Amino acid sequence: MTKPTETLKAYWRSLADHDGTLRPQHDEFPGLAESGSDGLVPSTALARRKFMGLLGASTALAGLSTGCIRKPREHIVPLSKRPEDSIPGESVYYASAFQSGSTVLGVLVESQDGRPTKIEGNPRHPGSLGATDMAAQASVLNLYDPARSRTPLRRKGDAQEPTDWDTVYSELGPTIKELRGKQGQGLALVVPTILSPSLKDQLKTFAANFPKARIFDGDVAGPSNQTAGTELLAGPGARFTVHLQGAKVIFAADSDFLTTEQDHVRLQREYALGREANTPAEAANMSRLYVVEPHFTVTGAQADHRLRMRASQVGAVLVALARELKAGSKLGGAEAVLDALPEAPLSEAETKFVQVLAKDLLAAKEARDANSVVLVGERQPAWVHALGLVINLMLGNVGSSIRLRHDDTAVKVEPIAALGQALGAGIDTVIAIECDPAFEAPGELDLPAKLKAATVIHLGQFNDATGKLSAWHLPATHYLEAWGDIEAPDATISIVQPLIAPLHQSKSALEFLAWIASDAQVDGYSLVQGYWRRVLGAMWSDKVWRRWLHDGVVHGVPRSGQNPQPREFAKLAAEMKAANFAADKFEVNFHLDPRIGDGRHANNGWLQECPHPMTKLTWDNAAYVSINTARKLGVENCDLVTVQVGGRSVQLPVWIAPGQADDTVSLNVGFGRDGIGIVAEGSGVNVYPLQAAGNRWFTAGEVVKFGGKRMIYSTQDWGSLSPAIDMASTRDDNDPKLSNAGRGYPDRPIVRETTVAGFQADAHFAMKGDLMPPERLVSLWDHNTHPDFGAPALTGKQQWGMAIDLNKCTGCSACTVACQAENNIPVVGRSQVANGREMHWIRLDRYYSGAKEDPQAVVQPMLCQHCETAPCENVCPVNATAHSPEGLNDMAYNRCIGTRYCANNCPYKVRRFNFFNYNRDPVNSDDEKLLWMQKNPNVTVRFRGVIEKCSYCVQRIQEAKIQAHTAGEDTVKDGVIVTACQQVCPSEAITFGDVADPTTKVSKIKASARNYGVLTDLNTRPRTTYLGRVRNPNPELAPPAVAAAPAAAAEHKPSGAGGH
Amino acid sequence: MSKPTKKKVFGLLAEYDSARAVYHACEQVRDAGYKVWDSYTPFAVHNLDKAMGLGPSVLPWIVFAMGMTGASLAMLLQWWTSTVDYPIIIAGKPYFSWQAYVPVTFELGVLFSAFGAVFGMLGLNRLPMWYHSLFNSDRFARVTDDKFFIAIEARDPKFDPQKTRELLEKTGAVHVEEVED
Amino acid sequence: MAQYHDELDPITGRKELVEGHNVTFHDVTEAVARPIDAPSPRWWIAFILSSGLLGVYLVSIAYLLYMGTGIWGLNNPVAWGWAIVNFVFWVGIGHAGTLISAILFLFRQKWRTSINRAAEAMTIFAVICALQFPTFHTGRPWFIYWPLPLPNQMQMWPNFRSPLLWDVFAVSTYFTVSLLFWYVGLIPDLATMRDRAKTPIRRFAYGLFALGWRGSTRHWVNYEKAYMILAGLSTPLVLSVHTIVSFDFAVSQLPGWHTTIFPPYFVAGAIFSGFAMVLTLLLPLRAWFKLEHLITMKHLENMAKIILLTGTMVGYAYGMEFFIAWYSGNPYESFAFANRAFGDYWWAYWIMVSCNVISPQLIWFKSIRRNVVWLFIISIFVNIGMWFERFVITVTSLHHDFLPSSWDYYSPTIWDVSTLLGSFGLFFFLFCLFVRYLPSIAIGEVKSVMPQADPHYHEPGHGKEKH
Repeated sequence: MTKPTETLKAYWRSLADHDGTLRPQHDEFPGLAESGSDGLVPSTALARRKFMGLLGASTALAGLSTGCIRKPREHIVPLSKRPEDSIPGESVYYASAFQSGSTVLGVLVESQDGRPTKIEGNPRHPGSLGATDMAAQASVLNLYDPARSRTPLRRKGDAQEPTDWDTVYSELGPTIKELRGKQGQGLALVVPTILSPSLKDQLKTFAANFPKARIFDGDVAGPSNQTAGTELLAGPGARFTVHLQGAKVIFAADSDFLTTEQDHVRLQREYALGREANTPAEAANMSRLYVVEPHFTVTGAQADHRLRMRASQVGAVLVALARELKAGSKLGGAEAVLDALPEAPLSEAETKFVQVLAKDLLAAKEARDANSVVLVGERQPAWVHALGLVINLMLGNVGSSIRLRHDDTAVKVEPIAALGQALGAGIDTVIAIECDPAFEAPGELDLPAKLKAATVIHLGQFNDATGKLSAWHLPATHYLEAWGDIEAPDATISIVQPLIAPLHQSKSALEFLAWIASDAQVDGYSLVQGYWRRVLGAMWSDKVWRRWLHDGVVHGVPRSGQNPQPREFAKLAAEMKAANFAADKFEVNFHLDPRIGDGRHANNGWLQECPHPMTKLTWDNAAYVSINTARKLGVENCDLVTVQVGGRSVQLPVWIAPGQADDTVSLNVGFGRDGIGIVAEGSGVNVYPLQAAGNRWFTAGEVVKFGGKRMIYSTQDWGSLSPAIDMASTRDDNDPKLSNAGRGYPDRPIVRETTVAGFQADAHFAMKGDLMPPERLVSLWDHNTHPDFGAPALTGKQQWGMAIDLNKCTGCSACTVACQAENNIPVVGRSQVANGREMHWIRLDRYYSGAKEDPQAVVQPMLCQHCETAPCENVCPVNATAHSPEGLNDMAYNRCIGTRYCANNCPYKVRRFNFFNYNRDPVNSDDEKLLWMQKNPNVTVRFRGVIEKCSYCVQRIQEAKIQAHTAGEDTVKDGVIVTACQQVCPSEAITFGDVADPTTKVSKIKASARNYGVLTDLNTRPRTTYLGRVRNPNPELAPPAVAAAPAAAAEHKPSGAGGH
Repeated sequence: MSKPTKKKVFGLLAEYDSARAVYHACEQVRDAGYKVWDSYTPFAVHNLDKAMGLGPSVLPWIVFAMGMTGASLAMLLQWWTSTVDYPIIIAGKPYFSWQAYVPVTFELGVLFSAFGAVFGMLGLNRLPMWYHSLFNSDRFARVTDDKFFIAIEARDPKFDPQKTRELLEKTGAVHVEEVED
Repeated sequence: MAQYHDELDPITGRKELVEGHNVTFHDVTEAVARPIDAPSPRWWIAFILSSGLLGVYLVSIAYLLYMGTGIWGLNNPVAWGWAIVNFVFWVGIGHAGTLISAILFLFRQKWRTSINRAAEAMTIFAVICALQFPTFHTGRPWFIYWPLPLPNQMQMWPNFRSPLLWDVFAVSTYFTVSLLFWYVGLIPDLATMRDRAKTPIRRFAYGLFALGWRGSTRHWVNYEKAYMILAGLSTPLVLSVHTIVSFDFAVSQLPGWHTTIFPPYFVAGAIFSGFAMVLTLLLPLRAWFKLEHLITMKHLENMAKIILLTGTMVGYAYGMEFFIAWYSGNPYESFAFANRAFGDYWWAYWIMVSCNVISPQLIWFKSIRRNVVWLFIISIFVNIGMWFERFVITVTSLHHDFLPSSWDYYSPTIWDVSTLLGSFGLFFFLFCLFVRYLPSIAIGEVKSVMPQADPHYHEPGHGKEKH
């Protein structure tokens, strides 16, 4: 056993270490590399002493090699010598940036004694505004993914043999030289969406040295259609970003701008701000969201008016909309387009929808302090994007809600389809960087076979499909391991700085490309800093650089004053002529998965287990069809169907997705990415093979029943607040022949919503939903009303509570993952989720309302409500769960014996039980240790047989209290304590704080008329309360069904009067 | 297994055939004024204690005392642990939720009473006592089957080997023998 | 042996409890003790079978300890499954014994004497089985002693407000008291066994536990008093135990659990299932060991009547639950019961109703309640029905409670099944040992209710014949 001090120095990487002489190629983790070595595991006794002496913070980690766990052994990660101004055990934050597709999030990475453990948003960064999304949260787990490739692999016949970078340089070098010799003839470079200025710079060098080489776009999540559409109108390099401040009317045309589109985090924030509805007056001022889409998305769930339709019809809607707007808007030279508008066949409902929408948009255009915006989803072809831009132009939104800019450093890349043709026709060598074309390319291209024929050099974090058929597979670094920089679509530049030396023998794309381009083995740090030295020239100084690193945002970068203008209307007119709206028999849609994106996070347990925001499916994708379509096909959930597109077919299970357009099927890409790791293995089905070369996102196809089942599992079987309605089946819930226990019972007043009109009519609609009016809820044990009964008062100076605004929560589920990262919540795996044993402390309940075929949806975050009279506490025989004087419902894990009585008695069912020792990684101890490095040392890692649940992030509360104490204050200032879910929430739906002090933000929010508690009729006195949702439907369109909800709630008030 | 006759005499053992016989025999022995004697039966013969002129058992008092002890100990324990030693806020209920403490109090009361009853009984009966002189008599083995006995001990002041034997024979004993200590 | 014409007890004028022509005390001793001297082949069969099942149980528990409660079908929201169902089921069965011994004793129901020994044994074994489940269903069984108020390094005490804690005290008290009660009853018979023992080992073993009992009247006085007091104590105890078990459910706020009718309803159910199990055990026993003249048709009939009575009470409770659920007007409450009868678990509910409410109604017919085969079938039905009652209460309330989002379906795994079957193995294993080595009928007590046991009994006329 190596002494901790030897192995552990390696974990530390101090800010001061800026000399750029890192040696990533030498493995900094002996303890991890030598399999079986016990390097990280000092004896418990030693560990305890060290842990007292050095850390003073618990890193108790479960893990005994036998099943019967009593106490976890404790493993520690001490520092050999204490670096300057670092306080052991106190976490440090470094600014960096995270990119997925073209979305850039400035992040602050929490480092626990050298281990990056948690990602937070960087408030300074306009792309994240302090929030993040699911992918960013989970990215820290990718860093420690045991499945990442650890050494370069060289092909030997059919086998891949491990080698090292020196061999790579010495043996691959000549090949590259040779290619350079023939100016890159026959060389293809496949790259992801490149937003890094220094990387673009390297690409320039590459292009210079390999003039004949071709560069292809290997990124599915990239904004290729939007870019194409924009450049079609406004010329090369033209880009635009959407801004929702002041947008009173928002029209999302097949655009899930709240979760999967570019800038979704910022857009969520801006959208939420537009939905403020604390008073009826304010509500009248709310923005209104129109959505047309084939598949029920998070954005669709937010819509005030949603029309489900085939993706191919969305273009038609925009055409019709343009016609409607013709009259009332300045054309700005767009006549060419408007005259060329093709005939758009729309149904009556669609026409009505478009008319009302147009009226609304024009009204917003006229209004002084308001504007509007039309968002077109990336899934739509380029010309629709262009048309959308034209419409925004007509509405005068360009400049306000649509901001055009010119990307000075734009790189011209060809679509992946072009690679399909080029391969074998001139291209014989392919360098794929941080992308997996063999997996992700549309099936029609038949890329895997073609790549097999070519020489492939692959740099990636996983030895994936492309890696496996490559001559050379080279490990790529994780963004937390490497230097880099990112320029967001809105031109905000951030420096990406590593927090830890590469865990494996890996290189960053930047370092690798630099080597290819100019045969120089330079480390990332020098490359990035060198680039910016050149750009800034005289303005450069170490001070500026440090400032950049500290802020995570770059200031004072010189820009070309170029300002693109949409003027190529003729081109668009020509494009539109080709448009064909003839409805296909059946339409197959493809969507980025809200969790694992295009598959890049397929091996991430947090994301695989995180329920799909709408369908609540975990660990799988499915063929999402509407109830009508399912009836037509004669299938129920989990029945296998064959989806066929142009002779290519895939079998996958059906999942009934209410709100899906009829005669369409929606498939999430990125699943079924076998061969990269145990998490991705067998999770879902790969649907890329179905994609067409031309339009990869939707196409004509066929779905037929295949026979047989594949069991797939959702975390929420019951999708309705009415016990009678089973949203997950095609059954007719009102069929008298059906023994339907719930029939005749009213909707349960769990989620309460109304319309703006309803809100204005009755500001207290939410409270009216209570089964028991507050005045009837008298408790003997209330020390205020019955002091003589001697119930203990909660004596804490501060009383913690939470308010969740259902008007802002979009259900994006980032909080679920953030909570998992912060609180060491284990991933339990498919089979356990199948039996309803998922461990999430905060879940998002999604309820449909209205017609089963075309419902509306609401989401409700459900977490421990920290009831003042908690039913769970009363029934625990060993006092393992009790109340803190500050009103927290605490769990004493080491006292819990696991009777699970508390879980039964929790009306909100938020308590989770460790049925097995979930924190023991199933693979092997080495991987286990790797994953342990992510654990938060301030949170107990729970062992088998104990209950766990949301603690309001008590570790953060305590930290804040200690800091306040050392600062000599007796209370924590409002806003200092931020729970993990609150911090990550892009729409700021969650507020936490001291409810005893009326001046705090949370108290003010709880004072709102919309404030209500769930199941208050049980007299649980929850500390977590919700703000009822207010929709803003257009009176001119059919009022949505939910308008009845408060009425329904009111109607069983009398009956409730007799209740408990 | 007859022993050398030099042994000390325990007393006289008379055997009877029926409950009725031993009942009346007891009455006579009682009237004859014997004190240190006893009757032995396969089952509790109704009122035989009256026939022997025995007083009521003191057992109930022991049980009562034990029961009270148990109950008060229980309530005391619950009060002290949850109010004095380590008060914890549970579901906003009072530290001393005596209503909730009743079940445990009751159960411990019953438990202690039961101990009192059983061990009190054994104590009063000087049991266990694995050796007893009467076991020396072979016929006595049937006391647990179908025979009834009266034994008058030599310790009794009125005991006289001759007179006592006559008395017992007079009471209709089917067999009288001298049992050694 | 039903051809015996009923004889009248000359003193009470009632039908004699021990049938037969002038059965002597000695006959009783022999009838009870003979089977113990040499076991019948039937006994060996029963013993081997139950030992096999016991093996199944041990394997199940070992695997459970190794893997964790996850091997069962439990999930969220159904955090209590078969383990708790089995616990309540066994505890319920464990009630008849003490009830027969104690309450019938207080009511001077002399007919109890020939069945109380076996019934008490059954009680003790049933409670042993019951205790297995709350122990092993916990997440960390090795800490099962934490609910006891023992000083510990955490300086924490148990939470005396928790019904589970009440359970700990109630069931363990009940077990202890039943054991003492049973043992006290055994002492004179152990003495009998001692005195007729052939081998020295037996003489020693029985002698040891007989504590040197010698039937002294001075002892009988205290003994009878103690027995009377134990009976007096056990009566409220037996009622309290199942009341407290029902608190596990009634004290929670779950729709379908949170009902005030539970205590009486559970106690009735317990007596119901208890007597059914007594029948299930005694019917074969009396046939195999030829005890028909001791455990007479009168005994069986009386027990059948009690089953009919309690079964009807349980049926009433089922109905009343629905009425209150509807009357409360609470949507959660009323849905919970609609869901019981017509929801996912409707089959369990109707099995319960037909076994517990409908099948006992047959007992109204004299021909059926005097027919051992019928009684045996009914008793089996009641056992099944009562198990399902606990299943319905536990699972249906949990799987669909307040928030539809957390609703789920519960289904057991092979390990749930093996543990239940195994617990029967444990039960019958213990019962086999009991009938093999201990007098399964209270010899002394039976003698004491025979006519000639009364000191004022006069031999009827001359000679033995009587008309």
